[in-house]
Amino acid sequence: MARKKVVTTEPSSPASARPVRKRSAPRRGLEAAEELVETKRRRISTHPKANIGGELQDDLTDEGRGNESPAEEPAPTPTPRKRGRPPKATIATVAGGGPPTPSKSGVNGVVKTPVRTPAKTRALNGVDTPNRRAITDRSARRKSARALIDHVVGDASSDDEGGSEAIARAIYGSSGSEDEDEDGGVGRRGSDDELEGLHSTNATPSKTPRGRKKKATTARKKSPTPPRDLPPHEQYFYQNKPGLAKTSNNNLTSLGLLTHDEYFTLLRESKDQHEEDIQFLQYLHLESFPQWAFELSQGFSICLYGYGSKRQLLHKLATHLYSVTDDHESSKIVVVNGYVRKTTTREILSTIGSAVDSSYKLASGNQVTMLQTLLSLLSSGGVTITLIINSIDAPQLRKAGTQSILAQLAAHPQIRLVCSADTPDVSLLWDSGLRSSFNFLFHDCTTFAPYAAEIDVVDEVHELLGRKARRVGGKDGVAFVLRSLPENAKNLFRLLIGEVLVLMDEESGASGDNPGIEYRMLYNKAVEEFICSSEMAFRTLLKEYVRLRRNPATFTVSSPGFIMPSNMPVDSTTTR
Amino acid sequence: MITSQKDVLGTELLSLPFRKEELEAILEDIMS
Repeated sequence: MARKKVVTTEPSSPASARPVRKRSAPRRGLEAAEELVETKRRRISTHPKANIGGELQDDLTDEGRGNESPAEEPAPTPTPRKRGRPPKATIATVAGGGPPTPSKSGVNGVVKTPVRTPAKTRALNGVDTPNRRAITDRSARRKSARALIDHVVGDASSDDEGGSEAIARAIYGSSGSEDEDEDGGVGRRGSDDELEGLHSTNATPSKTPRGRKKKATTARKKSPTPPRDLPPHEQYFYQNKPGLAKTSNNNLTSLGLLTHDEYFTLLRESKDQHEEDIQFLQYLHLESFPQWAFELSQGFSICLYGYGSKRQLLHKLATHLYSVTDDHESSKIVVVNGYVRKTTTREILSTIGSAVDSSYKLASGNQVTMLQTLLSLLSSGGVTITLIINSIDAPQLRKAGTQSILAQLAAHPQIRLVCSADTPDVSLLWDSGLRSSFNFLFHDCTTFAPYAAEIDVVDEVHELLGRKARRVGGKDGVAFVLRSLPENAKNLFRLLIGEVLVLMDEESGASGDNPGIEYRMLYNKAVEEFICSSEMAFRTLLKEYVRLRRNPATFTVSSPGFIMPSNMPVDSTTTR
Repeated sequence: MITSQKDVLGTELLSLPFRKEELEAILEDIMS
């Protein structure tokens, strides 16, 4: 105790003296379980190892109290670690004025006051109860830590001890976590508990990294779910996270297709509500026919654009022009349907040539020479041709060569060109050279008429769905086909239909797919019914139903049977 | 008028691309 006094009276004493004093105190605090002393002890650290070390040192100091030299020598060892902290503590005490016990004691000269004052100040600040709790927790924790160490050292393990060990571990763990919490709280509390802060800093080397790690891991776990405290760029990516792909089940395959008959009955029944308005619009366009005729006579070409089919309008214009002109020998009208897929430049040129001179046959060759001969033919004769082209921007006429040929035709003084354009980007079709030779005048001719001839809806839809085979022309088409077939082929088809119907009845429920009949089975049945006698004959009979295709099908003979092409667009147009 | 598909086992299946009602109508046409 005498040594203690000496230490306390020297506020500016080096840190080497302090730990010794503090360590001597905790030992007694532990033994006597006195709170006031405990508070002092807390200043040092709650780390079990440090305490144990302190105890060992205390023992040593107790033994050699008389002569300081052997006892003091181990004491300086912790000093280098804490060298930087005492000034902090002194500053804190000056600022807070809470626990500056050493100075007060120095002033008062009373020995007991420095022990009690810290407890009082804390009680005044109103943080007494949590501190007491923490103190008791800490003491319990220290005890548990000691028990654990004893257990490890003694290496004695019985069931009872195991139970007590578990409790000790639990206490140690819980108090440890509380310590961490308190460390954070104390730091914020202010300067009054600056010594606590000191204690916490003392404890940092072993504890704080652990706590930080835990916090970091929890933050990482939480981060995917809530977008809190994210930097802006991370927030962006969080908000623009790709979710689950949303695909609709409403696809085209689920559509119930109309049959041939249904389609046409519906088409005939449907009535356009705007028919009158469309008629009126058409009438307005008819009014401008004389104007157009005049423009044509002045060497301009006319291009009609706007939504709706202009086929009817051009047809009426042709009849108008025909009625206006007196001399039908010298002026002729050629109508080209550009939307027809098979339209070729050669065809157009030969048609014009035959219009000029019916007996004239264009020399075969490339298109340029054909054009040259046609132009010379035009120049030689006095025939004026009015060329009317429906859909000049149809895919077949979109080729640059075709357009340049048409432009050269239009540039000829004896050819008057009237055309219609259906696509909005038609003006991109011609460069300045072509435009100058075309010499177009554009007229807005929105008709709102359906593109009945230009677009084949049925075929387009079938093409989209990949079901070319459906276009057979309905049962009428089939009947027409069958009429032209020999009796055996008809019988084979009847047999096939019968079998398919039987299969449909059997399946009844699932009628989504057309049931198929095995090639072999059908052949056997055909043989049974004397439709055919050999497989070769059977094949030729089956071929009858394929020969009606527009494009010849390639047959590949394989072992179980030959593959028949699944797409057989036997059209009503081809059959009729 | 006749389509053919191969099933998983590779057997040739001949089928008609019509609905049942249509097939019945065609069959009636042929029989008459």
